[in-house]
Amino acid sequence: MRLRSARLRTIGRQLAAGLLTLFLISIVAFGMMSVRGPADIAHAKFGNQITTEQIDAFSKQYGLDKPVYVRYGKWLWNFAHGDMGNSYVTDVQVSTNVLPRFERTMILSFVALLIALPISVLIGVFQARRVGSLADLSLLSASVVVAALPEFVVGIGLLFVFAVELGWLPVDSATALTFASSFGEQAKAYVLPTATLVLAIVPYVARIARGSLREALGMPYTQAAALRGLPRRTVIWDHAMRNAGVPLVNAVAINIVYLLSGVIVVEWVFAFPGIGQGLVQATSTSDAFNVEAIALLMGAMFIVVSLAADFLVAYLNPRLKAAAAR
Amino acid sequence: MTVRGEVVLDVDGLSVGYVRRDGSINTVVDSVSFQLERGTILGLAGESGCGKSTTALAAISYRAPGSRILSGRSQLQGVDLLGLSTQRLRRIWGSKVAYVAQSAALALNPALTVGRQLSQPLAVHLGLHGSASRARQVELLESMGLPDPARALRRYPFQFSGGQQQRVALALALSCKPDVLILDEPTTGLDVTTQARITKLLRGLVTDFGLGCLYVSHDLALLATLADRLAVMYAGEIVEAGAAGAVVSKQRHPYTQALLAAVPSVRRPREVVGIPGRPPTSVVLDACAYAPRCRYVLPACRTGRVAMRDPGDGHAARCIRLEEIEKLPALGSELAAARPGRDVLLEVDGIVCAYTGAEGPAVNGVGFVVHGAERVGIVGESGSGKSTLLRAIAGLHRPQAGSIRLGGIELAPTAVKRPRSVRREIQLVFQNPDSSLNPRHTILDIVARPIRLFRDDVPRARERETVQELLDAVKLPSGLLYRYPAELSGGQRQRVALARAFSAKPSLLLCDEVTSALDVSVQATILELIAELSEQTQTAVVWVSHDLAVVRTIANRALVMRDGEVCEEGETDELFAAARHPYTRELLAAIPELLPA
Amino acid sequence: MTTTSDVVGLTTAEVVEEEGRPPAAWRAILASTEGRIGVGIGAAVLFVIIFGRFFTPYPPNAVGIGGATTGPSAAHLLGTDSLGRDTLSRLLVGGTHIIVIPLIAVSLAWLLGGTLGMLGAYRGGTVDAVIARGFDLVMSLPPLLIVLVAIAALGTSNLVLVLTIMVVYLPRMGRLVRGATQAVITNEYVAAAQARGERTRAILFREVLPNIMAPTAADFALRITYAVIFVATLNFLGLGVKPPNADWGVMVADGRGYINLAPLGTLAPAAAIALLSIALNLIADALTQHVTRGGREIVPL
Ligand SMILES: Nc1ncnc2c1ncn2[C@@H]1O[C@H](COP(=O)(O)OP(=O)(O)OP(=O)(O)O)[C@@H](O)[C@H]1O
Ligand code: SF4
Ligand SMILES: [Mg+2]
Repeated sequence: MRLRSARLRTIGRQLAAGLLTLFLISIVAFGMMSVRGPADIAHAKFGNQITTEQIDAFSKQYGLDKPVYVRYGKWLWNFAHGDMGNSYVTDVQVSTNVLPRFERTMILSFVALLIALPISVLIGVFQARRVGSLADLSLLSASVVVAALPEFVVGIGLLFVFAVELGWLPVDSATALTFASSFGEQAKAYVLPTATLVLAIVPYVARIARGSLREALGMPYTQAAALRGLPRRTVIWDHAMRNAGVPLVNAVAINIVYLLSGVIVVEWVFAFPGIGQGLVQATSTSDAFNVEAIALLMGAMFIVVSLAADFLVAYLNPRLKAAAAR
Repeated sequence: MTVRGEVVLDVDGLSVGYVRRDGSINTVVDSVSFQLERGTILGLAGESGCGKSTTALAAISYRAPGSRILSGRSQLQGVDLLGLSTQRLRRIWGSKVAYVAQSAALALNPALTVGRQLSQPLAVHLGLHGSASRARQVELLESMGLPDPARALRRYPFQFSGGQQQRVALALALSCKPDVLILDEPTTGLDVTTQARITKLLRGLVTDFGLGCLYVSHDLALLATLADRLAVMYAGEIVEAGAAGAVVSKQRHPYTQALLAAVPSVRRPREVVGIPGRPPTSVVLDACAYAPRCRYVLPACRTGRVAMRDPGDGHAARCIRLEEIEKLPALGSELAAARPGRDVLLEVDGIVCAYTGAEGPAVNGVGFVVHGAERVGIVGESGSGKSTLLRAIAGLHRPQAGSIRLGGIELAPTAVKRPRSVRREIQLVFQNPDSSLNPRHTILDIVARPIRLFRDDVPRARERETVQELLDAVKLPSGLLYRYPAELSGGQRQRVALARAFSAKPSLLLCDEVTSALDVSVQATILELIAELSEQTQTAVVWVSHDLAVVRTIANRALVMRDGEVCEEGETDELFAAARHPYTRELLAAIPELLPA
Repeated sequence: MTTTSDVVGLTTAEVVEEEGRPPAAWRAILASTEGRIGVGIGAAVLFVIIFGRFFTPYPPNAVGIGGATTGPSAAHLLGTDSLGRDTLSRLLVGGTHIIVIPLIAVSLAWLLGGTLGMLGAYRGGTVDAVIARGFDLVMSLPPLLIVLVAIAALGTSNLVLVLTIMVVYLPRMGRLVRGATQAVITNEYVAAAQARGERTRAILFREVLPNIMAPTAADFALRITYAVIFVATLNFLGLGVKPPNADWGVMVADGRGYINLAPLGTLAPAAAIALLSIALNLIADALTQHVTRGGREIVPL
């Protein structure tokens, strides 16, 4: 039907926009990392004593003597074929550094989302049902305080209590992940980073869920549904939630990129060997290929999450037809 | 089983209040009693805020947020609804009593298909599922006169027009064959012709299904033609109740009398009489609530609460002088006609306006003239292009073609490009005073702005004085100069907007639905004021409105617009007495009328 | 009190006893408990940030004043760090950066983004489309990622921090102003001003700006709190303030290495950051509540 094709078109547009964003990230990252000339890079790597000939040789070896767009084209082409190049800071293949990290970060982020989203929605619904009550107001104040804490403060707090004082969990995730072999030991390394991320996400999303459901619960159609004698369950989950869902998912989609950026910090706090930690390391050493590769992978991850949200909105929102027809 | 006259809902002594922020209770409805009988419609009339909606909801035991039902009974076939638990009420709501809210666009869930919304009460109350449910849904939509019901079931509410949405809402309300139907302003905001079709459908449904129906509306004329019995509310009390015809023809309460005198008519040009003052915001228990505004008030009216009294013919009123009031002649007299000059002031020729993305042009080749000091009305239903036309004249919308001349001089399409003198001469007044006055400016700022821009004869030092003179001219009480719009009532705000328009000393006043957001009694005072001021200052008026009766009252000449074109034009007296165009006749026929032809 | 005006029988009783103009932002903040707590904590933390430098028991950057990584003692109330510097002294001077940089960056973002947003919304058409697309484009880039890439490329400095944070917030604040303006300009008082032939500047400043201040102020407060967290985080990651200068974020990071020897070295600055951020958040929340207050009450079910 027309409704379906309109949805397909919207989804197609969002997919194209996602790819465009990815392209943009690659240009920005590559462009910015090219601001430093070969001489700077060589000096940073070999010290200030090296001669001009050595610099020339170095820049030839890594193709730094070619114009930016040529290098960019080659890099992008190779990247698309799975070759991320060699770092000229560490001389290690970028893919051997980045890919295992990426896998761990993916697991960490998605587990955190999987835990945080349902909890947030349930808390939000719980609050919206009793707006203004003591329970609602306490949760509200608590969420303001928790949301105010930077991830690294929460992380350090958890680390101090559970790893240092109680000793239940590893202080240093890297050691646990690299040397411990048993699944249980590996899993333990995920607990604190995941918990920190969850604590960062829940107050935001719960707040948004409370707000949008509260709004929907005050609408005339909710009153009308109640006055048709429909069961409370139907009124809340079918009538109110369906309408609250669109702004909720939208708001979550906008904030999720923000919130998932927290993974970078969280990894750093727990010395968790993911791409976030990799990015911070590469940033402090100006390791171009690593920064670029990680930027692109993280960008891709964020885009996948926002696209998922967009699909959900397209599914929830019948008005997209009207929008597409206009 | 449908015995006409059998009482299905018996409401007795209902009092309702809202909890104030400090926890105290503000009683807004007091001791309201009425009965709904099978096959009949009880009209509940009254102005904004008098407690109609609160009464309607409380009668079916719905506790609106913050409301408290203070006392009373509401018996549905012997069961007092006010004492039931939510659980039991849920079994009655939707199956025995149905409620239709004012705006179907808001009361239908935008995220669910019509079919899904219809299926829910059928499943919950009647246990209908699957094909049985579907058959009933199709049957329901069919009986509401919706075309292609099977397809309609798969569509979302926003894919229907306003009138169709209200039909869907009615189908939902009647899906489980209720005994009682409560309607709160179900046609407010719809075009008159649509309103006429819906009320006709409703009348049939009430008779066919033997429904006991409560119809809440601010529109006395509509209720007079539709309802069997009529109750008039004022300040939370019913002040007059009886057979609709009796109430309308011989009012026994001064408020009803004043209210009827404020209603304009298309049948004859009559002066509408406003009611000065405002109703109290909560019920008055120690005097007649209407006493401060009543022209027949006696000291005795203030000594205690006035009881509802019925001289024995089933037509009761809450007034100690009801026998005298009934014999008084109706208020209102013939309206003094405008005296248009002979010179042409405004000439509009072949105007075409289109919005990007719209199907056809909103205004399609409209032309007319306005003479000096003339009052020209432009009527039409929503979407007929009347507001766009006015905006084009004001220089707010660039026309695709056509010309506008003021005093023989061609005007630029946008206001900024027009010379200062032209911008001074054309002034605008808008529909909604909430949005036409900047909430962050004081009344002084608002009215002084055009003076600063256009009036070289007023030195800065005299601005404040001039503003005060203007506020006096529009009959606002003194001391409002430094108030903000939010501190004034709707009627007062519209007066400020008028003062702002007249502050520039215009020769042409463009009015867009100026009174449609106001209660009739306030509308009447604004109409009086505009007629008086335009007369005094010899200002021409172009009056755009969807309300033919208002145009009849204010204008000496009128244009009828439809789909962007003028379909009929003439002196109001002739036009309304003997319309030639079939569309004009259809419009006139759809208007509920109080006065006999 | 019902003085009848001499013109007609209208009385001053007609005047609605309502609040007229909504109260100023600061009064709205002080009106709520939450806001008052926020202002209280915030004032205390700000006092430390501004005047703490005059009360340091030791020079904050002096190495080896006490033993390395010691716990609290009478001489060093909060102990010392791994270089033997006095933690309390460093705490008293270490809060400047994380409040100054956000203030400058967010103000710039607000000025530029707000101007663009207001102009786009009012002008509409191509101007608006270009501005809106531009905002969307920048917003599609993950914030921390842009900032890290910028620091990787340009090295870190206060200028780089201010500029990149401004770039992150500019479209977000601009979009809010644009939305608010779009809502305001549908009002008929704007049409009335246009019909009077007022200039664009007069319309934007006289008619629109006063009406978008409230939501904009709430957004501004919120952005400041985000930016403080952001800068603190960058400092924690070692990408902001350079040693030996004291900074709370840097102290948390350094202290993390010896958290089991001298926990206060990391917990004290972490608490300072938390207090500042909580205070700002409470203020921003009070303001937001004030702006979005009202709304329909929920239907009883
Ligand atoms: N939720 C509420 N909280 C407090 N007071 C309310 C509430 N709803 C209505 N009121 C007050 O109760 C009185 C009656 O309101 P109600 O809505 O019943 O009037 P109405 O006759 O239906 O008006 P309208 O014609 O404008 O719909 C008014 O004074 C109004 O201000
Ligand atoms: S009781 Fe008195 S004041 Fe009230 S309406 Fe009758 S005459 Fe007027
Ligand atoms: Mg009502």
